[in-house]
Amino acid sequence: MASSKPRIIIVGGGLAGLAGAIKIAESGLDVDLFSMVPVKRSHSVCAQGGINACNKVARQQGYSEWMHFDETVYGGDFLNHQPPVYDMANMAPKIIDLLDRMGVPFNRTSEGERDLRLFGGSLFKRTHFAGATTGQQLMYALDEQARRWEVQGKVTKYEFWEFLWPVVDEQGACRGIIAQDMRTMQIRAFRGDAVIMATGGNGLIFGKSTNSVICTGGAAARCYQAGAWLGNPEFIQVHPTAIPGEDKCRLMSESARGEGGRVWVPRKKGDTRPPGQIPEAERWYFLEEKYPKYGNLVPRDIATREIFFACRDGLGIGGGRMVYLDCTHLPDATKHKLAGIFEIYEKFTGDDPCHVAMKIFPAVHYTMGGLYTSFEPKPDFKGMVPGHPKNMMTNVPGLYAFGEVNYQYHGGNRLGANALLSCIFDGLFCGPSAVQYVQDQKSPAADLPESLYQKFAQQEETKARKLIESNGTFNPYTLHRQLGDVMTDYCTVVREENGLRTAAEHVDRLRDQFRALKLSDTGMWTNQSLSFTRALGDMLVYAQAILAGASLRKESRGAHYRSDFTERNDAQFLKTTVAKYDKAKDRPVIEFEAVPTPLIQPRARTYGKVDA
Amino acid sequence: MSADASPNAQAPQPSLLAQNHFLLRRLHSLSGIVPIGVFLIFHLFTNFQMLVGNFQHEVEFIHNMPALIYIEILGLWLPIGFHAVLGIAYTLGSNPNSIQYPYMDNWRYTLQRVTGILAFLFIFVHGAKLRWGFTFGGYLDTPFYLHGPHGEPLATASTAIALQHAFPWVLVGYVVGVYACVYHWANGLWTAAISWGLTLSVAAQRRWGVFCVGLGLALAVFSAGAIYKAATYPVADQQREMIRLMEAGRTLPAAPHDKVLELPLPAEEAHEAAP
Amino acid sequence: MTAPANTKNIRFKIKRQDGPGKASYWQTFDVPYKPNLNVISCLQYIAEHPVTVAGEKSTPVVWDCNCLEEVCGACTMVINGKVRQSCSALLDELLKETPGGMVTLEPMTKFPVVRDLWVDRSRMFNALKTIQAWVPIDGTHDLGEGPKESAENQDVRYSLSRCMTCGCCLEACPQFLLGNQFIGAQAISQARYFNLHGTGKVLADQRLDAMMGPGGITDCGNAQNCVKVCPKEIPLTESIAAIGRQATVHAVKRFFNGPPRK
Repeated sequence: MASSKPRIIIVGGGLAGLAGAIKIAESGLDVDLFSMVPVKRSHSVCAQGGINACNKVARQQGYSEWMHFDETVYGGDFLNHQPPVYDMANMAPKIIDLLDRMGVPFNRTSEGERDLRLFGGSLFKRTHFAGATTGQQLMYALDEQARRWEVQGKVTKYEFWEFLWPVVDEQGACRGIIAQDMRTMQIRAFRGDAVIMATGGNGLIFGKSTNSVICTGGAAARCYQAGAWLGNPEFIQVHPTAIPGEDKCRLMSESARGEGGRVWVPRKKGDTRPPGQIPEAERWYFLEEKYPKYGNLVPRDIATREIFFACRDGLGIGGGRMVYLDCTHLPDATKHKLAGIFEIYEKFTGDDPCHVAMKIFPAVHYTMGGLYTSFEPKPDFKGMVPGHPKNMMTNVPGLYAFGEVNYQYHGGNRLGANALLSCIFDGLFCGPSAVQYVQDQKSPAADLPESLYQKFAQQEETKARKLIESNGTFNPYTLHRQLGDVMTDYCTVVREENGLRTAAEHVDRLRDQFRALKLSDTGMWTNQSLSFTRALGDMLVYAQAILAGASLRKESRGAHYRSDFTERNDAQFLKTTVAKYDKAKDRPVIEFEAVPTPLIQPRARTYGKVDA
Repeated sequence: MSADASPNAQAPQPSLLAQNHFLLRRLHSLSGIVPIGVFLIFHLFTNFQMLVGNFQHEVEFIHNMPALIYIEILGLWLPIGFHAVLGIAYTLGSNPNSIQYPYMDNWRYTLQRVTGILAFLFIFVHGAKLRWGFTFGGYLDTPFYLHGPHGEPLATASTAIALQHAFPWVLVGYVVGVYACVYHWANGLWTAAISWGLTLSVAAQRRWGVFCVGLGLALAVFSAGAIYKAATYPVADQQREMIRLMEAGRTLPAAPHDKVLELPLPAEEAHEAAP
Repeated sequence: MTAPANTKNIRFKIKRQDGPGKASYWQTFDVPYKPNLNVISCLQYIAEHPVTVAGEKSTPVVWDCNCLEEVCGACTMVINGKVRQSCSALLDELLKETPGGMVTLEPMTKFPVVRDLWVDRSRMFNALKTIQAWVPIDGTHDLGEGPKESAENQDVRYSLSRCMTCGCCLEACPQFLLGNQFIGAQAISQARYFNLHGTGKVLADQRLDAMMGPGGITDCGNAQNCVKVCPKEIPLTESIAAIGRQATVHAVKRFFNGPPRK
């Protein structure tokens, strides 16, 4: 198994993982790519609206990379580290060009140029898109390029393999991973000279979210328990517009509003008329009224809260927890651009959004926080030193975090259509950092003693056996539902001390119950219950960090809104929440680390709100 | 970039069949359309003459073509054999599922395979019987003569005897066989336009479909006319007797050519026999 | 649509198989009716309550899924005899198909079963390698924009690019069988997709060569089931015709020009 050629392990085959794999393979190193699903099915396919970048048209209207940078930091309520965001905004146009060359079918203008749409948090059209399934289209382009490298033997895919644990050597450096084949259930160690986590978000902690079923945050939680820190775990984006469902909430893209969709509720409480019969004067377009400048395109945290409050005040449709997202008035050509999401809405609800206003409600969508990473800033803080091994490395040497699992870029709130960008940026810009790290290493992972790897593999075997053999009474699926309910109730749109404490106690109780559970499938062939249950254990650990961060951050910033501390408090909390796992106490330890603001100073974040 | 060398570059040399896979498939398609299909049109059109034209004349024209046997072998029997052997091989490699997915196009697909086999059986029996004189152990002993020893017109009468033999099973066999051929060809013409890439869009396929249905219906009408005529044609005793004697290998009593014409023929036959 | 009483159960008859090469067997489960259920949420219920109608303790049914919003392509299965995505298979619709109130779930039959409803679709991903389903870019360096493209061409390419490798087209295809070589509508349509791109078409000849051997484009039997079961309404039959045309032209060129120079 041991080959002396350096290899890099990438865990996760979404946009960040694939972009990294392509960049690293291109640099000459071999990549082992691990994914719980065929990489083409990664959660990145769910992104709909688009990808932001300064472009020729917007530039001539006064837009610039700097403004993109500023919007991102303003949108993130100044919690973002500025040098990486600066780089991201600057590289964005080049990323679009690259994707364009890879064949992404970006929508076109009549002249054959890439078309643009408006998106949240900006007054300029700077979002490139492919219909309303941009994430899928970008994913496929990168998947194709990765397949090309796979055919040449530079990328080896391990699909349906689940990451279980990072292999950390005596010096504390990451030297490989333990993974399990989800079909044969074989657990084995893989040597890697660097390991890149690109495992996405943790929506499943909240039960029903817009995330895919593999987005448990389990992989990040395992790294956290192995010694990696979490950054800003309490920052969870709740997307304003989703279709509530029995199994998940389905995203209804911000592009619906970017293309002119309007959010409203009936002015009369409990109005039971069908939306089409409610006259214009009796509709309350509350976003447009409160935020005349940005209208329906205020950042997501704000839109979500306004929708949430409207429903709390009894103004939801029929008094319930839904508001209208109306696209019926849009011209046909615009509707065509949104066909991808309209089709989803119609399939799942039976109503055609072209003729009937959609009914939507906020749902957990994106994990701004994640594994804590660092970077090497340039002396003037305008960007990072390219290729520096520190860029996006966690506190564990050799362990990197790319994409959504990385806490960088989005601060307290992510702007729409910045996620695809940050994922690809991480892979392309920071992939070379991992390569540099590997080239700097004196002792390759291939030369390490087998015993190191066996020790970790054994540890995972034991854990798996313990779960299989656990003979208690609790059902893991039931525990998960309870976790989701309690996290959604107390730790999403509006948070406050008592609720957070209730939730924390509940999660502690769930962790106790987790130790006394019983799997209904104890076989050793394609045992999905084992995989799910193991992830549940890690979700509970992650949930504790989220709750601890949310409880200690006694202010409101971005997506983190405290009803007991409604104002932003820069003096105390313009800081990164760093969650460290205390192994002895089996609890998170929260520390705060100042966020420097070298390029953009914090300012009030109102988005031109008028007090109605 | 060398990166894009075909991933199969290291594969062993494929078999001759595999190497010519595309050619064989396209020839299969072509053989069905041009030689077989064109012959089918001529044949059914000629048969239709029984009802509205000079059948005897048409048939004799065909039979008097120079080097007929070579035209037949090269233009008909070889293509049919080729088309049939490949077609059956392809059919064996398919798994029709029209019950599970009862879309019209899927039924069309399944029917194409069924009619292909039916048409092949029919053509074999039909050709063997009427062209090569097989009797199939006496079960299908239906002699076919174009004319008597002195040029007496027997085309229609012979056809009628062949069709009316073992009534109604032969008739049923003819109806099924002929319509299988018609369907198989018309549908094959439709799908060939997709396979060869002539009809790209769904709209083009629909329009070409209308044409193929029209063509199929026209051939169906021709066939129906001929079958109707042959099934209802009253064979005169003299004609039957003449064929019986010819079949028995006995020469007919010598008679002047015009004598034969004095046989009490049905009106249509008389018209046919007129110069 | 009338809402049935709260107590109503939906019966699921599920074809199970413990592993490759093992015998398959049927199990039935009841799931309490709620409005707006889909097959996934019922399977999730069964995972939490794996007890058959007969009261036997069983195991959670194994199935492949991920996004649950019909964009990842994972959760394909045969539902009431017809192949589709289980996330977008809504119970209220399914119950209309089966007046008895029974829903049957089976794994796809054209791919080897891993366990229960989970099948191994690596053949589809391998087909993408065979047809070189990528744009051969020079590298990731900054080389400016891609080729300009008309809105019409983008519209066609976008419709093809929505293929999520779910396998519905192949499952319903009477020409695509477990043991044979046919590449199927998915890969044929992808070949068209890349041949439509300014840079992607550089490999068009190689794609067509791959597409003209055994199991290639000519093995299509024009049953056109693919286009009817495609959940993304991809114009698969148009792709088949387009690649048919390209192959015809390519073959004629090859005939006159001889084999490519190595």
